[in-house]
Amino acid sequence: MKKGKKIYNIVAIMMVTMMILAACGGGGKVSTNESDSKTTPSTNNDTSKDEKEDFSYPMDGSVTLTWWLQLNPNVSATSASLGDTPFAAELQKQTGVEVEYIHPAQGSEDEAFNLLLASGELPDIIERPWYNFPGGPDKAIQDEYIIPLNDVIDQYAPNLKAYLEKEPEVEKMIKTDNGDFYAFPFIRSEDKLRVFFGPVVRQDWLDDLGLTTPETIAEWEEVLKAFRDKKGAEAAFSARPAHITLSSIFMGAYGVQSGFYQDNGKVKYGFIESGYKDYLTLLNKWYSEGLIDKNFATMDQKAYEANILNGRAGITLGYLGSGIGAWTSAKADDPSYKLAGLKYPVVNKGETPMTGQKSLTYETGNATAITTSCKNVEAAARLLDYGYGEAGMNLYNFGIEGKSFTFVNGVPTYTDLILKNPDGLSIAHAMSKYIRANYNGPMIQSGYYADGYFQLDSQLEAIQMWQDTNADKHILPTITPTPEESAEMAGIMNDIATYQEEMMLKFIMGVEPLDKFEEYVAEIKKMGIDRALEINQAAFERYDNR
Amino acid sequence: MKKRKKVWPYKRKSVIYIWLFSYILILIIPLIFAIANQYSTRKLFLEEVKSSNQFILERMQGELDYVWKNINQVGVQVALNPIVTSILAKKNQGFHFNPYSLHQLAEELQVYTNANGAIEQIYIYFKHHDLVVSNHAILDSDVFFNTYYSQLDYDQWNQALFSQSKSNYILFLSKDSKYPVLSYIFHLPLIQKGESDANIFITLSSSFFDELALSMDFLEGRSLYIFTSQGEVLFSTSDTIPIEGLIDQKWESTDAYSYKVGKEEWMISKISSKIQDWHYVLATPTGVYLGQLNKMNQLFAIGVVGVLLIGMILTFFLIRKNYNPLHDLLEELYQGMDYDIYHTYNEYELISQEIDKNYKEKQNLISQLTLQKNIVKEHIIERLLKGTRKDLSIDDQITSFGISFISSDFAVMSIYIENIDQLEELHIEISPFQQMKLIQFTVMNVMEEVIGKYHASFMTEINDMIFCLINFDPVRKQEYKKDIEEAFKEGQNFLQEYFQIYCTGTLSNIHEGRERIPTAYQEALDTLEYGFIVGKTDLMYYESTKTEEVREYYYPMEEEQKIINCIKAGDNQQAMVIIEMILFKNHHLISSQPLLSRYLFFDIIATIMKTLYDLSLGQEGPAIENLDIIENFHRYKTLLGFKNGIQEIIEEACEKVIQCKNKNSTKFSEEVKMFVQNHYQNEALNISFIADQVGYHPSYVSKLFKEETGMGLLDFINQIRIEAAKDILKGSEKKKLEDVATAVGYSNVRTFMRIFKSYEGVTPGQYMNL
Repeated sequence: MKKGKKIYNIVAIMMVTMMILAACGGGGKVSTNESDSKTTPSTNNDTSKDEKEDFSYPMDGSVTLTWWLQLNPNVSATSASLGDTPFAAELQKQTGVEVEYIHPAQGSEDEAFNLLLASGELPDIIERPWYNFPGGPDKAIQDEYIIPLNDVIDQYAPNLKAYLEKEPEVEKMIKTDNGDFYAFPFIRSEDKLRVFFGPVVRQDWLDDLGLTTPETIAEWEEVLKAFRDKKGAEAAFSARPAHITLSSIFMGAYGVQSGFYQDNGKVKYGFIESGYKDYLTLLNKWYSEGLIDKNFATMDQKAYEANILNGRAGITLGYLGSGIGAWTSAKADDPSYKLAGLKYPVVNKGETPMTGQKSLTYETGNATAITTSCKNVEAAARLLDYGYGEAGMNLYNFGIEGKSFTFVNGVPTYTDLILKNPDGLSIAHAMSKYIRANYNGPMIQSGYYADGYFQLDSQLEAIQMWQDTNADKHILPTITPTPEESAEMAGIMNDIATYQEEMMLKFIMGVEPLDKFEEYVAEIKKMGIDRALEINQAAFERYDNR
Repeated sequence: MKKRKKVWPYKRKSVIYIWLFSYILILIIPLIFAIANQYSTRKLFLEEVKSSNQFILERMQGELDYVWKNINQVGVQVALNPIVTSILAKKNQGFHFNPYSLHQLAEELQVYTNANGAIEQIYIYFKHHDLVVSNHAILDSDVFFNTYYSQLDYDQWNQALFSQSKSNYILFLSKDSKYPVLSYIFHLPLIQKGESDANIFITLSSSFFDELALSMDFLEGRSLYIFTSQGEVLFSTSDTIPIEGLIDQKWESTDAYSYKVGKEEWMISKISSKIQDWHYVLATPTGVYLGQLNKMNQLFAIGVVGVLLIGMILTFFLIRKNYNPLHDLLEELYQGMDYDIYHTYNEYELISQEIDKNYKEKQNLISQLTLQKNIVKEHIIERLLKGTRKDLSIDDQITSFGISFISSDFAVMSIYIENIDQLEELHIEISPFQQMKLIQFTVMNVMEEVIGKYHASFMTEINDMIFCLINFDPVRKQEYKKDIEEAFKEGQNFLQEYFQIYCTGTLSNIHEGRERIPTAYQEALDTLEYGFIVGKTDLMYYESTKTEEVREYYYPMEEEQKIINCIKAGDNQQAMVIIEMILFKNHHLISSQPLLSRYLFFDIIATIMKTLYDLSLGQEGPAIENLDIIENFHRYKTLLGFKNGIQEIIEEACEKVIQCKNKNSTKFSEEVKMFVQNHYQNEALNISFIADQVGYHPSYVSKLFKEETGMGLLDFINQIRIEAAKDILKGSEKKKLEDVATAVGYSNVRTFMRIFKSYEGVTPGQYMNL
């Protein structure tokens, strides 16, 4: 019996001990909710792989890259960030790379970019007009903000590489004078893709008033007057200053172009040419007569659109898609509302307008660079190269097969999701959810895009009208001054540009009398425009020799 | 080796239940403690939630208040803008402003907007000109509204343009969003009282709060609400909690409170903005956080159950183990125990009762033993006093009963309670026997004590008389008598005073040596007798009886002859006269010397005996046994008694004489003989008994019988009895003499033995062994 007692005791003690341990353990088992934290993806750090032949999309999805770019207004109409769009999701799916899009505040992209550089915390990819970087793209590389992409493209961007081999002119465009690639470009592969902006008129008003399509400046003035008087347009001609500059509208009639241009191999600065004075005189006249929006200088996208939509304006400047297209569909319930493109006005009837908007195949628009902060260059390159391959081109131009487009006889064709969006979105807005072709990106813009996009007669006609210029002869290619020259240029042009803009507004608004024009020119010359011209001339000649 | 019983007899009221209760109580105490601990943990946890809520709120308050402050500052700065001021100055309608200035103003407004991420638009409405200058455009109010604020209510917005309200913000109802569009408002000029000329509106970016909520990654299931003090919702991250639950509270108090929505419990914390009269409310779903705690609780509960189980099992085994010895104890008890008692009391009570019982028994035994010891002791003293032949064994007994003598000087005192009959009447509740014992006991104790002051005393009681064996302390040799005298007096007084007991005593001489004790005893007795005869004083000394020693008494032969003749003649009267005369003549002797007087009495009786003997020689004589007379002699304690006794005898004798003279037949004796032979076994058979039967006086009967048969009647009776006894004794079995005596009609075996011996010359015992 004593043995039995002993066993009892041992068992009892053991069980009690176990319970104590369990209690302690139970307490300890409480793990905080925070333990399931978001796992930061481990970046694949082996950038120098030699087995690139085996590469195929999608990648393993373990990489996340940050991509800083402007939030295009067409996108922001539907989404707070590019990352929210189906396009971004599809891109991620197809490339296997997770992208975190970072957008600066709309309207203050330049300031935001400066702040970004100043902060020192660069994202992996920055998409912006690198040409405008003070000192040029070379300086950006030199200052070690972005990396040169020569080897990168060679190793990790087979699509782009292949395209450039086919189009040496394009390669010339996208390289610096040093021969460095600095960004993945937005390439307008066809002519018809290069003209997409120009004057737009309320055709229904013309019809109503029995006016013919104006071609000359005088005709334009008549039309505007009629709009002002008969249609109550407070801002018969309404355009944003940036648009005016972009299209050089009216300037061409006087033989000048905005900014730097070339005239028979000579680089000129339009804003000091005599023709510019004529231009200013015209506009000032129209302004004082109330034919131009009194407050055209301060107009954001919304206000500007509101003008043409709400009948405050009769003639404006706009894009094919987001202008004519969007506005037409916005006014779909008003069948009388009709828009049409106008040719750039000339002084004498029958003349060809000197210039108009014509984008370069590759221009100083947004280009996508890889920063020195990027830890996975290969992944970034692969991601950015995607838009130059067939699958990528389809995605960037047409979106998701079966959703935003289908192949009709081998031709990618937009579906009604885009063209007749069930939620009532304009084509431009609907497109911006699925593609990037309607604004820009690291891609080759496909001609089919234009075909698919511009369905309206008014659009097709507008293209014709807008193409009818000699812009090719005068538009400066993307010349790149040397870094030193750039710095100098920046210093000079900063002041000149500010002054020029200010004075332009003042002259037009009548705040500054036109007889001060010569003073204005002298001032600009004082600021060193000649030196700037010199530099550009040299760069232009260098470009020719690339 | 006792085998442990496996079977438990069911017992209704058992200590097991007490033990069970105790063990369970012990188990419960830590359990209660642990449960209390759990509750306090939970409470602590909720406190933590509260304080973390408070922390978050404070952070938020800081961040948001900073934004409001900033916006306020922007408003002020815009208000102070020179362009604004110059526009304000121009109050007449229709003034054409410098469009470039307006453009510049717009640019500046844009700068402010850029600098402050929370601001979506800044616009200034110049009332007198219906001009809206904003960072986006410069328009008149209608166009402006349609372009930018078409989702708002036009009337409200239009009214706001002219608003004079003191509040620095306006909430515009929006068709697009359930939350109002927040717009700060500043009246220009700032310092002007009365109607303002322009209002600055700073509209908060619509995604501001959303971005704020996103940026607060620590929200984690919590819900954030921002209210104005009027209870309007500026922003909320969720709809789960109805607004009433959040705003129906005093805003000033910063206590967190819990709020239930269906099954969900929320902890609501709030804090007020320091800049605006807005309030930030944070609701934490305690359930989510309690989830962890609840899991822990579950584990704990399981643990508790487990512990309880183990506790129960252990309790069971321990109780079993602990009860067994008790049970064994009880086993011995409950075998013969009454069922009801067994179940009425618990084990300890039962055992305790048994112990009590045993103790009482023991006490009883002890007291009985003590009592008996005393009795034996008294008996020993008695033997010492009387002086039995077998003295040798007494020594052992003396020492074993603790009697030790301090010297060889002894004396014996007798104590006689004079008024014992009166005393007995006093206490009628107890029996007379107990009473007497009590009185004797009292007297013995008192006397022992008073004597014991100096000397040793041993009390005993013989024949209802108290005797005290005094053993003197040789130290007080000179004081012996004085001590006793004083002691006796003291005792006597004490007994008289407290107990109303009056006693007298006699004291023997002081003798040396134990063997002289009987002598002392006899002396005391003698003195006592002497006292009876002469009357008692308090304490009579033996030696005092020895005074006036007279050594002869008056009883001449002539007088004796006269007495004889009178009896023979049957004249008892004359005989008595003579005897009385003799007694009278000896009266002084009688009073002072009892012994001598006793001899006188004996002498007189001897005379009568001789006379009677003579008479009996003829068969007609009365048959009165000599021995009877001598035996009766002891009865005469006093003179009067003696006289009466003598008288009786003489009367009887004389009667017989007369009778005998009258009768001479033998018939009577034959009848008597027959009767005797039939009734000899009867103890009551004696002359008186026969006399009763025949109707004559006993003395006459015996006289007549003697005359007829020449034998005494008594003699005859005895003869018959002895013959019968001889027959019995001759039998083969061993007989007790008492039985034989009784069988033949002797009540007293000693009588039987004596008579047997006188007839047969041997004792019946000896006869039996022949």
